[in-house]
Amino acid sequence: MSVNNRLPISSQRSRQWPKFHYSVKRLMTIFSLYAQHALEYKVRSLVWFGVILFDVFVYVLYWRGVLQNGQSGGLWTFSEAVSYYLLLLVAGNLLQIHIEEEVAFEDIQYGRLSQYLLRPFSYFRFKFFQELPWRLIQGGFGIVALIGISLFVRHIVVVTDIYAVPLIAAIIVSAYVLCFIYKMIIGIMAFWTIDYTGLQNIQIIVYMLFSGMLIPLHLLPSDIRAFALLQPIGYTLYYPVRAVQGVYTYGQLWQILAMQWVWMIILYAIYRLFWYRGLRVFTAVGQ
Amino acid sequence: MVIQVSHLSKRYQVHKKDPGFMGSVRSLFSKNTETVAAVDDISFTINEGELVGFIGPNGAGKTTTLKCLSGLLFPDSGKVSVLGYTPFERKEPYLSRIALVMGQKNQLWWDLPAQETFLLNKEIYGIRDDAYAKNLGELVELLEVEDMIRVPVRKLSLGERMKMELIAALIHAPEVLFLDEPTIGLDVVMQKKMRDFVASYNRLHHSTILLTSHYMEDVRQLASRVIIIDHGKIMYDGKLDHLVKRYAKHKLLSVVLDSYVPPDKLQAIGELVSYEFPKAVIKVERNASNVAAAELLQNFPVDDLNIEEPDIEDVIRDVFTNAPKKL
Repeated sequence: MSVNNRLPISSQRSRQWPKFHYSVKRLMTIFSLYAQHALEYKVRSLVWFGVILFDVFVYVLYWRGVLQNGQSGGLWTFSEAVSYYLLLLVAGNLLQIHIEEEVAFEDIQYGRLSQYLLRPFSYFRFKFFQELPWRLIQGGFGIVALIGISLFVRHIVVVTDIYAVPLIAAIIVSAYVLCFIYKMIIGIMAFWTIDYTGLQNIQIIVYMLFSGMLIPLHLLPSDIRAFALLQPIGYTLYYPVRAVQGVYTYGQLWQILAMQWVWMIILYAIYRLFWYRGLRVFTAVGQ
Repeated sequence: MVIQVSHLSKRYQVHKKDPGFMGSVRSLFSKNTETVAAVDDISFTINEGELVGFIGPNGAGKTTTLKCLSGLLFPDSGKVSVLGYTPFERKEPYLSRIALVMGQKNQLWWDLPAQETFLLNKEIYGIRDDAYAKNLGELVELLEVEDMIRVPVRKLSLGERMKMELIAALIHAPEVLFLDEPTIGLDVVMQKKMRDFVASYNRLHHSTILLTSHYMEDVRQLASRVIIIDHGKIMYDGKLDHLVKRYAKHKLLSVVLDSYVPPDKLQAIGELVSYEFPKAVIKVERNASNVAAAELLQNFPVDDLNIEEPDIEDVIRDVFTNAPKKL
């Protein structure tokens, strides 16, 4: 190796980045490397899947008791409840992003963020590709479990209109991105907090309540229902599950998709604002 | 000029709490906040290909400066330019041309072989296949780690991990390299290997390197120019040997005697630093060292005599201890 033999920087790096196919190949390679990393911890994914499976089991038992006593007021049948929570089993694993704690604790508070900031790839994209394989692995467990359960349970009701499927798929993808942005905002709050744990606990309660994880949003008391149905968290879990259940018309599906995009734009703007302000107070502690 | 720093300052807010339970209660109502200047109005420039040692005690501001230069921290005031870029803007072309290696932390995936991290960086930095193969081959050869890049990182020793860390940081052939304590925690053999590597890398690639280290040996072996920083201020910026010549007030006469001489007689020459017959070390005034040496040769049974510069570490310690103002 000598000075003369050294390739100039400009020729060592490909200057074809703007080319679409190169960008896609590059992102696919990055995704596959992160997928490889996530696969190393597949047992952990299985355990987390088991946690949601247990939750779903408890919710179904609860609703069985409620509906046997005729306390739903006719808003909700047992078939719908079983379908909702079994689909939630997939949605909870596939769409419920868990990036915020890593962002807050490992990256911001323990200083690992430095390692990301020093590389020419945005932190947002890094985290997106880190999280995606985990969701796909866990979501895969959910789909397998759902298929298995559906062999024995007759109550599962899903959309039968084949033409609605592309729209519902778009809602699911948008739900993923929306949830990701929301959790990134929660995570970067650690720029301004000394003890992030309290904030995280509040966030879990808010998410459980307003995502439709505990109770479907349309069953909430009327005084908070309107708000619950409008706020962004509902669009990350509740609406996608209800869409797969086939309860919406085409018009309503388009409306849901439009609202998801509105929330994505608003939340991403908030994320960018907090991100750049946060970087100014970041002290790269521990690094 | 690759690096230009002009009147750079970076301050931190530090909350102070009185000791004990009542201190905790009081801090609920009123917080004592103190502003600490980690870096206080420093200026320096570094030319292309220079290897500069950045030294100072803990909390002197070395790492903060490196973080400002690499774009991790936003300066409170002053101007910083590296390769013509403002680091904190963290533009992708800038980040593609620098690297910051920190001895205490790593970017490697713990449960995967280091090779996977190198591949990730290849994509992140957009390195062409041929350039990647060439760079990796050269780094692996220089660091002698052919067999280790396929072993999960958790199975590697600290020194081996540090080598992998260097490969991950250098795979994109950065033009500017910031090394923060690269030899910390390594044994002396591994420290030497690391030093040899950094020296070779600087020589072969003509990279600009700014190095901080607690080990003076690192700086002595690698850097001809040093910047000494303390309490956020630059106290010295220049050649390492000039520092010794300018600030070491003494020289050491290292003597091997033919026959025993009582210590009090040797003390008449200068301060007897150590004496274990037949070897003695005497500290004398710098400008009187030749006279003292002549006196020793004439009046004592001297078998061998050397006039030595004091240890660089002692000189720097004296600088920190005795010179509160800029030198």
